[in-house]
Amino acid sequence: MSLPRSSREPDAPGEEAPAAGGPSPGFAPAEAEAAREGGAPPAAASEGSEIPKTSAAAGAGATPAAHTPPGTEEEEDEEPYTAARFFDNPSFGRALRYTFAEKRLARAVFVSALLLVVMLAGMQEVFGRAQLGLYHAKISFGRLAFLGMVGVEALLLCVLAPAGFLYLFEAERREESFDQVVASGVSPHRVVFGRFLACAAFVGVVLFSSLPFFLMAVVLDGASLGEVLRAYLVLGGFALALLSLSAASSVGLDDAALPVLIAVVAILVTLGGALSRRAPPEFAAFSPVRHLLLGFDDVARSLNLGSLKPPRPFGYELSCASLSLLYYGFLSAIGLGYAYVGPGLELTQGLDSFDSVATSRRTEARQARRGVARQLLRTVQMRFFYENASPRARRLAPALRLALILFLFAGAHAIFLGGHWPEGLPKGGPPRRLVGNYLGFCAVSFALVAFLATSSRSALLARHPIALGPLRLGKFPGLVVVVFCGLALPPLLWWSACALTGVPWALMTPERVVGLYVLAAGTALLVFAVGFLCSMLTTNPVTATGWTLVALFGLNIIPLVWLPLFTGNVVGPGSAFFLDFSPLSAGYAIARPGEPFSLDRYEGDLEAHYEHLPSWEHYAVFALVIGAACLVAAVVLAVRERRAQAEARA
Amino acid sequence: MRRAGVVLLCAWTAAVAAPVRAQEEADAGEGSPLPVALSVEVGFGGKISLRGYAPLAVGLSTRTFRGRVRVGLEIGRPTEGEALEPVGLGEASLEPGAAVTVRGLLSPDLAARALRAPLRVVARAVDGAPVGEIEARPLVAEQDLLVVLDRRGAAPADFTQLSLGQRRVSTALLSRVADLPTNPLGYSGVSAILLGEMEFERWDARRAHALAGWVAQGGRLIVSLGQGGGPLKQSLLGRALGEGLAPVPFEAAPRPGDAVRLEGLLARLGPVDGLETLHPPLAAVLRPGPGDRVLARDDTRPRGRPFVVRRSHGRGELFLVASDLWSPPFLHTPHVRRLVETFLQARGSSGWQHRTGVLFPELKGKRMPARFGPVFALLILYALLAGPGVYFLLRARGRGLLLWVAIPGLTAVFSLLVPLYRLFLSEGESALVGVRLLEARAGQSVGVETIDVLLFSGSPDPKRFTLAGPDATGYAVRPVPFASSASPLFGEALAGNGEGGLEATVPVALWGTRYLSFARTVPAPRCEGLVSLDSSDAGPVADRLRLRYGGPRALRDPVLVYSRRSTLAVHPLGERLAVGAEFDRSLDDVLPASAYKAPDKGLAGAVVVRLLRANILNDRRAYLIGWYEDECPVKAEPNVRSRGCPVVQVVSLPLRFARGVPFGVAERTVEAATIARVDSDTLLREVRTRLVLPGRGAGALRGLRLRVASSVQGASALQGLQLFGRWQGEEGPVLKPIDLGRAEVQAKGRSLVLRLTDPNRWCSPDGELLFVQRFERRAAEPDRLWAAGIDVAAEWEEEPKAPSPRPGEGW
Repeated sequence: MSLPRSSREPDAPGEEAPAAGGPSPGFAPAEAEAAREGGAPPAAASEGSEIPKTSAAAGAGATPAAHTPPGTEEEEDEEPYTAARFFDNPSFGRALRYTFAEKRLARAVFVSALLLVVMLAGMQEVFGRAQLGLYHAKISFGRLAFLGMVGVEALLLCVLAPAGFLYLFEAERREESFDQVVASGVSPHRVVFGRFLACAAFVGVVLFSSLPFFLMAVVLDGASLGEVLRAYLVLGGFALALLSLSAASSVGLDDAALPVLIAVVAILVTLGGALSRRAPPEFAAFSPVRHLLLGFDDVARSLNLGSLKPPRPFGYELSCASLSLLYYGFLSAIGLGYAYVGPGLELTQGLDSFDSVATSRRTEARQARRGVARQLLRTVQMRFFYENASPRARRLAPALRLALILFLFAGAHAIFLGGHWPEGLPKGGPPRRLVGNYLGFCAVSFALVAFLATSSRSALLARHPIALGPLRLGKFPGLVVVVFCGLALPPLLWWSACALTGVPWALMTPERVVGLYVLAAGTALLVFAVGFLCSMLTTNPVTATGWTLVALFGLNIIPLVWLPLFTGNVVGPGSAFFLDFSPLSAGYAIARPGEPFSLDRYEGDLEAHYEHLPSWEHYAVFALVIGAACLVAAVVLAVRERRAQAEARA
Repeated sequence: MRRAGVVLLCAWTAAVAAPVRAQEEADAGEGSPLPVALSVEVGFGGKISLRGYAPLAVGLSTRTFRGRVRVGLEIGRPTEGEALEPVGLGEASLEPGAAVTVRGLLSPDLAARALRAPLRVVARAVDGAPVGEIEARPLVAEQDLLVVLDRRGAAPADFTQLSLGQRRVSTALLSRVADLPTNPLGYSGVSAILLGEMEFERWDARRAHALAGWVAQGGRLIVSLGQGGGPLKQSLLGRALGEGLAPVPFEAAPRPGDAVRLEGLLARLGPVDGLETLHPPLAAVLRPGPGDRVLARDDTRPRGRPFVVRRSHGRGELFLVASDLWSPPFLHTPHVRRLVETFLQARGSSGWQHRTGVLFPELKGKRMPARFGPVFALLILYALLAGPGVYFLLRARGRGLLLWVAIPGLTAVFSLLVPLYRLFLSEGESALVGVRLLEARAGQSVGVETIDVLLFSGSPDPKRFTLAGPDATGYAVRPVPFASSASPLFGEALAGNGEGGLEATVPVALWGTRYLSFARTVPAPRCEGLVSLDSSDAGPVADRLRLRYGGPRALRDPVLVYSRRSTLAVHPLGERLAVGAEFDRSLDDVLPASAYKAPDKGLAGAVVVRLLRANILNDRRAYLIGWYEDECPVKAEPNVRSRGCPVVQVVSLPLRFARGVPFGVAERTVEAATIARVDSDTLLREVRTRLVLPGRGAGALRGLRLRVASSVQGASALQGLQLFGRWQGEEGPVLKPIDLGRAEVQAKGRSLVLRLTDPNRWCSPDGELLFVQRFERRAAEPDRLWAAGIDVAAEWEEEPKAPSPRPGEGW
């Protein structure tokens, strides 16, 4: 598919906006696009309501973008609207002028101000009626009002920021714009980040509109100007993180349910992190209100309401606001990175993720109800859209995606480990809480990374290798690198934390901890091998994931079936080694060496007591055999697949 | 663009690393010594009681530092430390080579928290930098704390076994006047003070008024007179105690010891066989006045001279002992301990008392609306303009895009307007609402006034409170979170008492509220009278009131309150009691206190009703209660307007029992001892209960009823109790067993009532009855599981003729 060219300059800024449903003045090259794709009549392109059909038809009927050799300088200059930086930017300007301007902006500002007024009135009533000022000299109306204002704004951001990306790609009928933008052939980055900037501007204006309220808190001695500035910084960072995550999820996964889910999670995190005394302070710093509530710690302790501890990642004192901003920066980077690389929708020959869509009308209707058809439509739309990305972006995307996976993995591990790392020199080895929680987290995250193997088939057959400058790496080797980097990261992080805090490495790595880590890593490799084999047995990655899950469920749970069989007198104690095939049993054997399982059952009328000493060796051998078998089988299938592909090309 | 990105990344890394570096630098600087050396003394010899405030003395010395420092308290680790407002501590100017002491008070709440985390005293320079720091961990005494003040630096005997019933009493010793608190609240956690020879010439006015103020506010002072009352009465302390020392004549020289024999008293306290002598070196002359009670006499004939006198003073009381307890026959004997235990057990004042529990629930409900109207108007106007206003304006002109500029512009304009509201606030008026409770005894000149105020701040400035009175005290009060009916908590004490009265600055947040409680001694209202009770449990009631009220102000809604047949009764005295009014009327028209409804629906009426239900009125006194409006003596600045301060006046009147006393009136003293150890785990215990009938002794009793009540078991369990009573036989007093099998069981099922035949033989000439219980119990069990409560009710032949108590008789 060739990228669209625009020979027409964008319209002048400030041009009269069209009526709802009418064509956008900045989207004139619809005819050119229609001619280029050959599947959409010009009349349809001019009608906003017909655009989805056009796009879908174009996407479905188009040949893959690989037909165009990537990376030519000529193409970089061909992107239309490169001069449209502001209001005439196809997405940013459109959003500023129509999506967020006028009614929505005024409504959001009014709602924000109204909520703040209502909060102030409620706070004043509660403050006076409950005589809160009597409880502590430091409880003042101003302080509570300031806290309430930040809380209200944070909750408002939780709704407004994700809502900016709601139905970004699916609301053609309502927005009447996006498919036109897509059809215009403009770069997806300009569209997505234009929308991102427009949302940021919208949220920023709403946030800024609360300034008189915050200044009122300053006048009422509830906060200093520095505190107001800090609160704005944290709220701004929070908004950017939410916008980035919403952008990434809308682009990569879904733009209908996920922004709502993000909003709900953000509200829960905001409230939970702010109010929870049990949440680790390092995790509670995700809440944009937490840093303010820490200022009430003296009041809470004075009233015997417990204490809110400041975060001390890895035992180091760090202000809660700084930590919150670090988190938001991390989340923003992840979100923007994913928004940049877009969804991994490289449809490979022979790979059919949605092969069941068009089997029959009835089946299609049923699956459409289930959302599969909608998903396919969206996939095609996104593929069409992201194949308009610049050659440089397309070159960078595979490497960037892997880097983002590793970044997300490393960041999550660093945050988790920082929240659990002991302060000072621990006595007698790492604390149980640290070992239990962190190794549990490692096991889960390892398994998730290992599940990448379910996309091995598409990685093996991928056309575009991972390119980083002159370096080239196949997608499957890249996937293997990610898995092994993920497995190697926790020890590296553990060592870094030891070096940073001055805790001896030998003290923090007893044999038990190393054993549990090796168990988690080995299990992840088994997951990888099984996933690899399953992916080679089907053309559908979703099916491969399902099979892998079923296989792993069987491998992990079936050994535990021995327990009811034993207590039901079906099997005897001689077969207890079967229990050791479970990784749980192996973990128990490593964590508590020499401690047996106590088992009781009735033999006739007598109660019999058995003790079974679990062993990790059984599981190791079992996993090794299964894993090796899966790996060999998968490699054989992969070689055959590659050979068949080469023959087909020939 | 890339360069900018790199620069931003570097800046961010530096910003994030800064706190870490600061932490490392702080860690590196931990070893550096601070220029001011601190020493801290908490409580009395390091001991504190959580019942009240504890004195805190911080010594500061330096070789290099010069300037003002502010001493404050922090609790917890330095990184999480709660920077508290100076709690009774203050500022000091330091010079190189000089030593300064800063005194303050530790609230009970703070002291309790100091037990869980180290209490750090930090001296900070004007710029807030710490210049000195020290940690302190106070020792918490048992619930009761006895403070011994004597220059010899030791208690007269081993007080480690001192106890009050089942409770152990801790003892603290102070031998220097300089170590004494300068605020009456400093003694508030103390159960009693034993005062010996304490360099009376060295006392300054603040310390003298602090101790005297504590006694008047409910303290219990045991004075060991020794050399006679002269030095004490001449001292500033003697002057501060004033009429409290009235039984100690100034001019009377002490009697020589050989003229005083104490065998009777000592025998009551323990075996006298091992004592070196029964004569003290000297004995002060005591002349008890009306209302005073002689607790012990010497053995001179025909009737011993007063040796121990108990006298009420304000809400507290003094025990005046005519001899020096640090000399024979008391020195180093267990008799002193038992004597002190007798004083501690005496019914009446039990240490410093506060009336916040009565006043707080009523006063805290008062509200003053904050002047928030203009702010709301401004903010609502802004919401309307920035939202729909500007939208409709621009939309009508087809310039909707300008919203992106118009809204931030409008925000900026209103943001500039908001600070102007500060000017309006600086002129804001604050309001002070208060209520006063004035308590006094009829015939005494010292009254105690509690003034609770609620300040509603209308401006952000701190408020300066002043209250006249050399022993004026004040402290903040706050409610218990999520427990509105619980007793309020004591907050920080207000410092600055002295000759000029109390003067303290309290930060109050804008539109915030502070509840402060003040107390001081004041001249008592002029009121004389008594209530004569016909208190037999049966027959018609013929109670009578004789009263002369001399002001200072006429009382509104006056009522007489007294215990009538174990029920608190209220007798309204009309709408108004004028100054100079006299009464002599029978008390026929009474109603239960629980049914009383105050005519006044305001604060005063509510306080009176709560007073009647607060269980703080002594059931062996009658009370004249009324109220009047007056000016609030607590002044607050700046721009604080007082909005009413009713005075509820409570004058207690003596009760005279005409034909007998009901249950619950006889004064009771309980002593317990182990008679023998039955086995390794079982003890044979003996509990002796002494009951003193008011006013009448033996020879006139017509009937005597004994009530034996179990605290935890049913009445049937009492049937097996070994109970003896002191019986005046032909050959002297003997312990006679009492058969509880023929007693009647009372309705509640936990007590037995027994009518004793020949009542005058059970009663000594002084009106004292003694009952002894013996039982076996396990060593770990408390006595109350087995010992019964003993009480008596008596009836006389005829009504006594004397209308008022004779000197030395009490009641």
